Amino acid sequence: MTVSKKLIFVVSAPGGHFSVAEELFLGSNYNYRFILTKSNETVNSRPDCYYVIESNRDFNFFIQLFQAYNLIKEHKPSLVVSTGAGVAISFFLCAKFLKIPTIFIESASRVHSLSLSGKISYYLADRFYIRNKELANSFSKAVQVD
Amino acid sequence: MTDIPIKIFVIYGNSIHDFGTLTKIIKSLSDQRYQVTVQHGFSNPGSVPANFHVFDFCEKDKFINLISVSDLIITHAGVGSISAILKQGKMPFVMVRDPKKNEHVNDHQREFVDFYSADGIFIEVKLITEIIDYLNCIQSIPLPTRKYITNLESIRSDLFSYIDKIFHD
Repeated sequence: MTVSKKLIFVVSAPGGHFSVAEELFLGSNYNYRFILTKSNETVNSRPDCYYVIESNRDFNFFIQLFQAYNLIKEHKPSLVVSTGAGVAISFFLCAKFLKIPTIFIESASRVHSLSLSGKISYYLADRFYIRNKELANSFSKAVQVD
Repeated sequence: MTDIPIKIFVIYGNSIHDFGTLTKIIKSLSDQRYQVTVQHGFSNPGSVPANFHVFDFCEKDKFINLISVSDLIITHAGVGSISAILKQGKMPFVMVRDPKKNEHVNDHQREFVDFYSADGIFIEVKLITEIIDYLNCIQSIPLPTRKYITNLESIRSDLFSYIDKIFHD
């Protein structure tokens, strides 16, 4: 089997968002690199991750946006995938500007409404996954897979 | 009566909001029969009983191992923690963060728990007495009906097909 050399950025916050990212991509044949927000709970830096500053709807968002732009310009990924949360916005905005496709996977915790990052990513992402059928009725572009 | 302590693992997750409700109720687990390990995250655990071991965050391997060796696991209603517990075939006991108490930014944990409450993949806990009841007859903790919340295999399959398509266009 041919392994694609095209790089995928897999972007997420730590915790549950990252667990999903790992579960999806670890062991896959893709050439991927995890991008994580760095906060106190990131005990040790991992060699398969790049880190950006954490933002909680504050000024750090602009620093994170700058870091995202630099990482994308330096590594030139062919695709940006995010499992949330807000860090998706920084990377999707830069990816959109640089014409790189994006995919967002909404958290399973969202059953009646999208997260804030999901609501924004819905308009930025080329493909948008939701986990619950109820949401599929309200978001026609979203892909809901059983 | 056994001398082996009952191991309880309490998970707060990584929310920046203080989960005071959980902190308050777990302090009733001060009985020396219990060996309580608490991952308190950004919450303030305050002073804790002597049978408690607390830490803020840990490596994933340690986290998984603590789930594996614990007899009963109490967690905030975060899907990451619940998924990790289910993956090991254990029943999560969940407490919902209340945004009215500034324990989260919104009510999505309540919506999530209400949505899946009938699925048998977790037990919601509101009072410490509900946990004590299980601890007093620990063999009767039910097994979850499945080992996941939603099936990631389906998403992975569709996602990888989509990636292959855009990479070959």
